[in-house]
Amino acid sequence: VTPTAALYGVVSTNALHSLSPVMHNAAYSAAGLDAVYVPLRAASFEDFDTFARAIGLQGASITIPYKLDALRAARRADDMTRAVGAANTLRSTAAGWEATNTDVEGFLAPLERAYPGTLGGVRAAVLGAGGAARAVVAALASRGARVAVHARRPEQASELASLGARVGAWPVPAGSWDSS
Amino acid sequence: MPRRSELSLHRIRGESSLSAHDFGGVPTDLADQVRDMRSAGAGAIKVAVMATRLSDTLCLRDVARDGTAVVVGWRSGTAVAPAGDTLRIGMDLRRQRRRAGPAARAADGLRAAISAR
Repeated sequence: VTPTAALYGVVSTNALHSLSPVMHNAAYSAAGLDAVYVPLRAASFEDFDTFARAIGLQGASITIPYKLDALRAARRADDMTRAVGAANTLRSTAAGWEATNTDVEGFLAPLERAYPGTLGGVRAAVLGAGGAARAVVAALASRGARVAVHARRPEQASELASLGARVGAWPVPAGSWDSS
Repeated sequence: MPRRSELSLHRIRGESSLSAHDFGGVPTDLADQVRDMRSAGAGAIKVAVMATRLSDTLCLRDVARDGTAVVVGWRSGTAVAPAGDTLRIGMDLRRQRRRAGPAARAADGLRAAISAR
């Protein structure tokens, strides 16, 4: 790592718990990249944005609770990320932040590897309606699963209807989830 | 109203040392305080503040960039620390060092990168 190393980081309210720096820095080292990836505990998305612009951050992984803010702040985003309504990755460009969401593919890839071709028509229950849940709902719905979202705030759960989910009961009833 | 830091004067081997501590936050007039401390003729300057926001570290970086002050971003909650020729890093970075080798190297790399900007 040299003084001109490219700067990246993971952003959340508690980024110090993340193992992402360990993984990314090992990857940079293995790939011979002059880059460094650090935890960034931001008090707000604006706090992160101010810091990132001043320090010349090239990109960031976004996690709780800033995934929706990240998309709102982006100048550009791909169609899937717009559909999900949340971003987990920001890349700095001359025009501003460019957003994408790798949660969809990150959720589907191992699931489809373990259960190839079996998601169509299955019933799925998603607990929570935050940024990660949006991606999971979009992923499951894209494969034809019947998705119910169970969340403390029903109005937030109902926002996921556009992604193909119905609002499930909260708290989740005891017993078999097949009937919920 | 700007926060008021607790000022201390020490004498080390015949040279005066001025310290400013504010464990409640980062004073909005920190740069002015450091300038005043320099104007007072301190041979060494130390600033220790509580950085609670990422953006707090930007003004610390500006103070430390001069290289004549020791700046401690105490419990800043991030591996990002202000950099200068005389750098000290707060508690959270030490926690990072204990935790993982690559993370510690990352912090060192970031320190180098920031100091070059």
